[in-house]
Amino acid sequence: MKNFAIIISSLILISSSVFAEETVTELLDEAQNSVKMAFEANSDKKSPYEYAKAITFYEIAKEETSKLNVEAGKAAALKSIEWALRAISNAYMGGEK
Amino acid sequence: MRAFLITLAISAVSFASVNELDDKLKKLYSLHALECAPEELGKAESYIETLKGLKIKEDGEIKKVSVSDIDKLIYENKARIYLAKAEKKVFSDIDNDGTPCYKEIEDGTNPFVSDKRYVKVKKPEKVTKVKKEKKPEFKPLKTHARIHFEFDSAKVKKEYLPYLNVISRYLKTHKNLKVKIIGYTDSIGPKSYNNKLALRRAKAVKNYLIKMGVNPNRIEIVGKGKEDYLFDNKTKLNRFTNRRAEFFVMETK
Repeated sequence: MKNFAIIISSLILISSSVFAEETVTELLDEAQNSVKMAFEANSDKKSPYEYAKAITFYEIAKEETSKLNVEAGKAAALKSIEWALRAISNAYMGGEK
Repeated sequence: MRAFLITLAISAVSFASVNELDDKLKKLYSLHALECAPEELGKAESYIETLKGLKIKEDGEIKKVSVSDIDKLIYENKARIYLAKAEKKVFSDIDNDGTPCYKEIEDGTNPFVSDKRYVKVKKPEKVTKVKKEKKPEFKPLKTHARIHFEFDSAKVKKEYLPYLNVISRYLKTHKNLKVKIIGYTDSIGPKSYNNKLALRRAKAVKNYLIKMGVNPNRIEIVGKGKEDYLFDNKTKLNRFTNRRAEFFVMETK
């Protein structure tokens, strides 16, 4: 379980650099998938703070992208992915923060 | 120039409000909002971070991305709403045990589980029926308790004294009772004399009871000479039976 958490943590660290090259639509898709994964890992109950942040950043990303503020959309989507991964990590670690 | 000044003013106001929101957030953190209202705190923090400017890596450089002024106002409003919700939760008593959430975290108790169940509820002490200790009581008076007298005598016979003692004790322990003593005679002698004799007999008993400590107000005497015979007066024994004093116990109202 700890190895899994380490993998997730390292994913968080490298996510920003990897996803930076993606388009905003791809990032939004990724953010949506991450939030979905987090929900399936019961993060909304086990890690509500991180999950709420992931959801909110995803909402902001959608809002900004719809207003053609692509850069803000990308940044918010990246944040959403980052927090979704943290939420999953916390959920698998038993809700520890 | 005018547009520039307006933008500058909005930016100044936004900067001030972001700082204000930041302070509120810090205050909520110190009140354990992370434990009490994690969802609201997370949402508020996301909006505040967006207001401050999101960071993005572009061409190897970290760049701050800002949102439009209208969006800033929208996010600021949303951040305020969630901060207020978080504050409400921090000060609310989620588990209805009388202690607000932040206080429970400080005390080290679970804010979502009522502490009432840990408190030993004192069971109402069983009311044990105290058995009344039976005091040694004397036999209750019979309505027709009586003593007998010698011929033409109003002297209480010695053999009846223990019986009178019992009566006097009974009267002393039962303060609500009154006693009526009626003296009787046999058929020998004139009626007027027998009436007086009957009254003397009743009085003799009364005096003895008074001597034994019974309040005289509780004793009533009546003399009935040559009346209410129990038996005919043909034999000696029957006459002896008719020469009597009877006790009638009455309850005072």
